[in-house]
Amino acid sequence: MKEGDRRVGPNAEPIREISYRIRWNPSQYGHGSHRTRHYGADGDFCDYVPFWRQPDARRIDLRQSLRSPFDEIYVRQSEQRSRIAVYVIADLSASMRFGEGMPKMRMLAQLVRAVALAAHRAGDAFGFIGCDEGLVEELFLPASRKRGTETNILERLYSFVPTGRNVDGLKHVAERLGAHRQLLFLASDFHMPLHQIKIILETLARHDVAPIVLRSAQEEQELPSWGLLELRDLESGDMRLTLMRPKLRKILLEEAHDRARKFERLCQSYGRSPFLIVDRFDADRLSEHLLLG
Amino acid sequence: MSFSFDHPELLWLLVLALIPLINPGQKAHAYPWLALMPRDLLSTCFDGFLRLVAATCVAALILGVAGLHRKRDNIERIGEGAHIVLLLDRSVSMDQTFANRTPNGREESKTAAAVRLVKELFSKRPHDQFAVVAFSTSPILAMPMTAKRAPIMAALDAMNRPALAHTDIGRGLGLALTTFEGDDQTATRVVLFVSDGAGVIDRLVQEKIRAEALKLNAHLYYLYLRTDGDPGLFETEALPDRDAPAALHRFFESLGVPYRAFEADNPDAIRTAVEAINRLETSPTIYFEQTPRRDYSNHAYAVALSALLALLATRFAERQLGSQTGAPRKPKAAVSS
Repeated sequence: MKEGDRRVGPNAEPIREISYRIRWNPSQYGHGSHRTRHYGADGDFCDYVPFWRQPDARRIDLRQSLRSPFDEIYVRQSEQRSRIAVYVIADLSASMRFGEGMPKMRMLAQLVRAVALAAHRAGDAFGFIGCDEGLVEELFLPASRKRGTETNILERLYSFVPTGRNVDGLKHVAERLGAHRQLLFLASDFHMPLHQIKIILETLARHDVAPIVLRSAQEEQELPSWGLLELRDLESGDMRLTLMRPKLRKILLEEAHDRARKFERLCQSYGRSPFLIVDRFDADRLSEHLLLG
Repeated sequence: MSFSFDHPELLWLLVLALIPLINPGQKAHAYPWLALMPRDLLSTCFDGFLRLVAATCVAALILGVAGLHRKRDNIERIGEGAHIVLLLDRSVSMDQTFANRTPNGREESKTAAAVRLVKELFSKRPHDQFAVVAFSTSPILAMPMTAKRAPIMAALDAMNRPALAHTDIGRGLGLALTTFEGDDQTATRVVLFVSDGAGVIDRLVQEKIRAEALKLNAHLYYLYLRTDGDPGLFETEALPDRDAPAALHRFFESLGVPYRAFEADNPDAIRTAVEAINRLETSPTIYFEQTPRRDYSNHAYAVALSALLALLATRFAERQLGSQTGAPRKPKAAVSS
């Protein structure tokens, strides 16, 4: 958003597009753009198989059958393309409120918009689930291929002020996702203990989870080197006075780095590496990350 | 040492001093997760220190407003000393020298010598209380019993004023004894009677004095300043003149209270007598040391001010989260971690 741009709301954001790719076979039937291991009538031609293996008279390929030295009847086989559902699972706890103008929520909205656009273009269904202490029902969008459903969610996201004291709702997300494997964009600042993240990833293990880390540089990188900082935890409300000094800042950054590394390893063990967004949502880099996996 | 307050009801406000302990009132910055911030002992201590300083500041302000002061106080102490009344003859003859001449540069008057030596005595006895009674035709209470030195010395100085007329010992003694009234019982009471002559004490007055002296158990010292040619104190005539010092000496001896008489015909003899008295009167006494009211509210305000200045300094040390940190905000490229 440009500095002078005072418009607020979903329409103020420039449209950013991303693309994603999955490396698994969707179990869902239905036409889409993802390759599957279902062979059938429609889709990309794959190869010829003997009639006895696929007794579908409509697909008999005469030319191939005649060319066969063994008088075998061949049938054209296609690799069916299928669709999936893409969800953005958003952490809507109070820590997402951090920063002036709630930059994390803005980044989240941009992400939702980009993912929804990409999903619709690929013919996939798009859904949104917001969590704080429980599921945020007013921001629940079941996966749907209908275009424009995300507008409603985006509008609500802009007026939503997160107040949740934790993200326990994330543990119940799986119940809303159904049996098929889906692509989940798990967007959060991940300011929670690693073991909690592990539990959440565990409940979502059936799905393809792409963790999106929404951070503000003010949280860590831009902390002052000297001075007094009275900090109030957005979620617990605890206050703590800290006498900042370069040594302490160094420890903090080291710990943050350490935590980030552990978090990355944890996520990788569940599939995908996390993608870090600090203050600015870069659609191209996200696409790159998602395509290279 | 006891503290007191001008407005003790304001002390209820001291409850307010608890507020900074609970909430120090710094502007808190919202932070997503405090666990990111490493636990730091120094910060914790500093936080506690700041809260204490703030609480001290509030408390000191309230103490100041309530008017903290130390009360004027009498502190009871025990020392060696006595309550001494100087009963000084102010008849005209006292302004003469021992040689019965008008004092000149070389010889001082009897009054001057006596006053000088009594002053010495008084200044040697820090825990005594003194009273000064002058008597002539009528007794004059120059200074009631007091422990304060300055007025006593002033009263003694006043004894050097020109003398008055005659001598009435009885009323003088009576007034001297009344100065002990209202005294506490523990102190030794001493009447130091300085005179250069004697006189007749009325029989009725004699009885009263006897009764009073016995009741008060006063020690009596008769310092007789003998002028050349006057009769001596210890003359052993069978029946001295009624107004001779020897007669007075006998009367005093008959009082039944501790009594000693000294005869002095020069200043050195006075000194000897005074030193003898100084040695004799060494019984313990309770005396009170007065401490004046001392206002501590200024100290309280000073404490509050320094605490406020310290807090102000920390106020300037407070930092903001975000753009005020100096480094210009530049959007960081999103990196896959």
